[in-house]
Amino acid sequence: MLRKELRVTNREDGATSHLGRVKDLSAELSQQARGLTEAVLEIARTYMYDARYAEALELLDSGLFGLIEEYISSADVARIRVARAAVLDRRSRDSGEGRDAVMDYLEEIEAAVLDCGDKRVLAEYLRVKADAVMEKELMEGRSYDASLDLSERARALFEEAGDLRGIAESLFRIGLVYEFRREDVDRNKAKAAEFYSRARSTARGVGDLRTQSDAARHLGGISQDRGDLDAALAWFEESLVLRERLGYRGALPGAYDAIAGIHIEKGDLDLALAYIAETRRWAEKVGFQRYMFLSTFRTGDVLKGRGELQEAAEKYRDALAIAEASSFQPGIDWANQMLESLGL
Amino acid sequence: MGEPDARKLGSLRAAKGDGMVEGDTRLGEVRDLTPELREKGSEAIGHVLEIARIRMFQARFDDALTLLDSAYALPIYELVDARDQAKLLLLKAEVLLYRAVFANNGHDEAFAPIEAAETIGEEQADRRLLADAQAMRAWILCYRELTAGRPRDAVLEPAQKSLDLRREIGDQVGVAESLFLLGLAHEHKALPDVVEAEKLFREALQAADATGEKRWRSYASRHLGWTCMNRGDLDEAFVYLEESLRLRQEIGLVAFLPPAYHAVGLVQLERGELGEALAYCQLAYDLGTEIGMDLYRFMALLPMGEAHEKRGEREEAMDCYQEALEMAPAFGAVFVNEAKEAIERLKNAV
Repeated sequence: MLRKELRVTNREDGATSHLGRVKDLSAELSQQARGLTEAVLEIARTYMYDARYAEALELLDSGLFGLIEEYISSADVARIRVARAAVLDRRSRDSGEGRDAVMDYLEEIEAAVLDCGDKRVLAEYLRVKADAVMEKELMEGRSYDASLDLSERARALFEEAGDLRGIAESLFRIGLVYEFRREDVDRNKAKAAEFYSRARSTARGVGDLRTQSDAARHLGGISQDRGDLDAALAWFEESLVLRERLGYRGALPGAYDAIAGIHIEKGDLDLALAYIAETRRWAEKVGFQRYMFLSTFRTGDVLKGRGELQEAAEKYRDALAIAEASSFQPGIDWANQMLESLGL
Repeated sequence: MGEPDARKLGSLRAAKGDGMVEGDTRLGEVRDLTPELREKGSEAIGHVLEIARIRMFQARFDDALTLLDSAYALPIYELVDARDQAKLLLLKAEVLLYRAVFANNGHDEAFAPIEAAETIGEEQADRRLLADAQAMRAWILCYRELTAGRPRDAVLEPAQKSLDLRREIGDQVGVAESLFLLGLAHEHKALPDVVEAEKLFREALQAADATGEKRWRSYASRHLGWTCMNRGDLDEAFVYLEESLRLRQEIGLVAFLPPAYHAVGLVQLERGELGEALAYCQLAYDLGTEIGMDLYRFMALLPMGEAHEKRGEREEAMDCYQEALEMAPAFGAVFVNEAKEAIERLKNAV
C-alpha cells in the first residue's frame, strides 16, 4: 500500500526510467527451447530407427517438454506428439502389439495437430497415420483405400510446403499401397514400381538415405516377383548397404531377409542360411517379431529345398506359432499353406 | 525402375565362395550410432543449460532446478560426455546457491553437486572443470559466511585455486570471476585488506573488459563503487554503481537487480538526491517483492525511511522503519537494532 503510493510520488524521478531497460530474455529462451526440441526430436528419431523404442518414448515422455512447452510454438508441441505417435506405431509393428493404442493416440492428438496450422506437421501426422492404418489394413486383410487417401493427402501437403524428404516418404508409402493390393496385381505392381522409383530419386536428391533404402528394398521385391533375381539382389544389396551405413537397425532384418529369399530362389541354400541367421540375429536384437517369423519360415523353405521335409514342417510349425503369438495374419496364412502343401 | 547403385557388398558375393554357413557372424559393418547420439545429447544438454541459466537469471530457481533434474533422468544422460554432466552439476550448484541466498538459508545443499563435479574433473583431469568447481565452492562459502555474519577467510583458498588454474589454461572470463572472488575475500576477511581488495577488483574489471564479459564486470564495478563510497568519493561511486546496474540490465540478470537498485539508491541518498534515492530503493523493494528476494526488499526500507525523514515526511519514514523492523529478525540482530534506532531517532526528532 505504502509502496504503491511511493511509486506514484516518485513517478517523475529519473530512476523509473530504469524500468523497461532490462533485457527481455524470453526470445533467447524460446530460441533455446526450440533448439532443445530439435535436438531431442533428432535423438528420439535415432532411437526409433535403431529400434530402441523404450528409450525414444522415455525421452519424448520425459518432463522436459512439459517444462519448455510455454516457450515453444504449438506446431512444435504438435511435432513432439506426432513423433511420439511414430514411435508407438513402429514399436507396435515390430512387436505386433498395441495397434489400438496407436490409433487411439493418433485420434487423441489430431485436434492439436489441426489447430497448430502447420502444414508440415499435419503432413507428417497424416504420414504416420497412413502407416498405422496400412498396418491395420494389412492385418485385417482389408483394401488399402484409407491409407492411400492419407498418404496422398500427406504428399499434397508436403508438396505445398516444398518438403522433399516428406514427398519422397509419401511417394514410397503410396507405392506400398499399390504393391500390397491384391486385385489387378501386375498393373498395381507396375504402378508401385513407378512410385518407388520416384521416391528413390527424390530421396537421393536430398540425401535421404533412409527412404532411398526403403524404396530400393521394395523395388527389389518387385523385380523378384517378376523373376528377375539378379536385379532384385542388386536392389536388396543397395538397400542393405544403405541401412548398414545409416545404422538403421530397425530395418536390417528386412534387408537380410530379402537377400535370403533371393538365395533360396537361386538355390544357393548355404548362403541363404547365412542371411537367415543375420535376419534372426537382428530381429532378436531389435525385437522384431515379424522377422523372427520370417527367419524361421525361410529356414523351412531351405530345408524343403534340400528335401528335408519333416524338418521343414517343424520349422513351418515354429513359424506358425510365432505368427499366431504376434497376431501376424499373413504369416499364419503362409505357414498354414506351406504345411498343407507338404501334406505331412 | 532405375538402376541400383553400384554393388558395394563385394564381400558378400565373395563370401559365397567361402562357404558361409548358419552361425557366421556379421556380414557387413553396421554403423554405430553412439557417437551421433552423444553429439546430439551434448547439444540437448547445452540447450538445457542455457534455459536453466536464463531461468536462474530471472530468479525462477525452482524452474531451473526441475529442468536440470529432468536432464539427469534422460536416457541420453549416460551417453553424454562427462564434462557435460559436470556442467549440469555446476549449474545446479549455482542455482541451489542463489535459491539459498534468496531464502536466507540452505547454502550447504549446493556442496553436493560441486563434489560430484569435482570427482568428474579429477577423473577426467579437466583443469577447467576443477577451476569452475573451485570458483563455485568459493561462491557458496562467500554467501554462507555472509549470511552467518562471519568473516570470509574461507573463501581465499578456493578463489586462489580457481584463479591459478584459470590462468594456467588461459580462461580469461574465469580469471575475471576468480579475481573478483579473491577481492571479495580480502574485503571481508577477519582482518580486511581493502587495498588488496580494490586492486583485485580493478584487475577483475580489466580481465572482464578484455573479453567483453559483462557479469563479472558488473560485480567488480559494484564493489569498486562501495570502495569509493567508503572513502567518500560519491561521484565516482555513483558511476561504478550505476554501471553495475546497467550491465545487469543489459544481460537480463533480474535476480540481482534489487541489490543494484539498492546500491544506487544508497549513493543517491548520500549525495542528497533524495527523490532519486527513493525511486531507486522503491525499484529494489518492488522487484525484491516480485521475485521473492526478501533481503533487498528489507534493505531498501531503511534508506527509503531516511530519505523520507530528510524530506520531512515523518509518517512515510515511520512506515518504512516499522516495516523494516517487522522484517529484520529474519536477517539478524544487527538489522533489528538498526531499525529500532531509526524509529527512536525519528520519535525523538522534533
